[in-house]
Amino acid sequence: MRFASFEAFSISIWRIVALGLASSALVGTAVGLAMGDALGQAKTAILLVVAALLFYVVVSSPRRFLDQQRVAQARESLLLSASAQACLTVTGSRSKTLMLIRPKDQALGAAVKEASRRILLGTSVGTAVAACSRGIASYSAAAALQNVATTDAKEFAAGDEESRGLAAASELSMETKLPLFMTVCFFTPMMLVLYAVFSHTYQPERLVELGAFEFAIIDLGYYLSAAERSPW
Amino acid sequence: MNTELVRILTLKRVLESAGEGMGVAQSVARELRRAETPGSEAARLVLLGYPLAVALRPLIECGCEEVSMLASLIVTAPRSSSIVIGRSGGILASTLERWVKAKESGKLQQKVLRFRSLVTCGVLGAVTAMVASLGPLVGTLDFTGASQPTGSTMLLYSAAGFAGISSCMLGLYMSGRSFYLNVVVALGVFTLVSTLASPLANVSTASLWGVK
Repeated sequence: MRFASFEAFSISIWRIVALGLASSALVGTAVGLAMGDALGQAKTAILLVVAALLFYVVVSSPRRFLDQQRVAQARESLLLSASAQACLTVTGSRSKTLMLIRPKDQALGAAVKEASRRILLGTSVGTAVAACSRGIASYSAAAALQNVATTDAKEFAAGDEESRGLAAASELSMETKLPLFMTVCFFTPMMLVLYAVFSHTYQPERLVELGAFEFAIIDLGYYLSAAERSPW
Repeated sequence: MNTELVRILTLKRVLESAGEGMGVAQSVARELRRAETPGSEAARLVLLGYPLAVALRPLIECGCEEVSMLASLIVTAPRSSSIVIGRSGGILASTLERWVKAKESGKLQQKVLRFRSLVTCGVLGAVTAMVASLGPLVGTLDFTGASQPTGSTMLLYSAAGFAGISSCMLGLYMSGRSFYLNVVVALGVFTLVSTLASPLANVSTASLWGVK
């Protein structure tokens, strides 16, 4: 199995799975202790659901980081194209252009620096850029770097189009996740109050345990529903 | 007009002037002189003889990514050519202008969503208070003359806590730092509804045992 986000951060799939399992076991145990016997026989099933959700949150975090990087780099690709175009027109040299541009994004800056280092070591510009642009999350930023020699107004459109696409994706994601989170926030306290009423759970310690359970559920819902960062 | 948009338009004029052949420093001094801070500060620093990288730092670090990008592009002009930078920067400025406008409409949508979350928190507070106030009464309608449950006051406080936790998280999701507004609305409505429902909640259930 291959996952782009794991490859981008050079994370071993087994390592992240182990981390996810360890985190879910730890949090499952903590929630189990905090909940006590407030939910009776349903406790085991609920703890399994909590552990599974946490496992997903941990395993999907590289993808979230990659999405964030992609947004930042797509925006940066515009500036990269403009400055590369200007530098190239003046210097007339692809290698000099690569050494003159200074992206603000950390990952993009590291790729440019690495390309410059390889060029200074004698690698051809094309090879150096191709090797270094593999780790760039945004396709328009990678294209801006790869087409330094032929950079023109079309490159602006590439960065703009990717940003628009990311914004549309972010909006759609928000439209899906927001009602989901609202539902969780709206119904969880009501269901727990109804449970307390019909199971005659009025002891303070049991009610505190129900509160802890509510916090765990809503906190997980928060992380699962956290929307991707919009470009604007 | 939006401050960020004004700054972008001012920097766009700087780039256009530079593209027409005027020096970058002269363009900055001429176009940003009448602008509000930090633009006027940048013009002042240029006139005092500071290099562009130092003079435009207030604009680069102003917090708006689009303005920062344009200012960074102007700073790179001495390394290449002010005319070429001016020409290519014009296209970039137009794109960034569109982005800022899109951001502005996004902010308006966000305001509507925040209001929606406040309404949700209000309804959540009302419903939770109603369930917590009347629930113990309804739960004992077993017609056997069982006594009122003890500890229903504790349930009311717990329900307020549950509503508080939910509204806090919803506020954090929707409004960020202004999450306390959601908590205030939820708890305010909760208090109001539980106060209004308290006479009904304290009605003693008559034993229906033996009623013909």
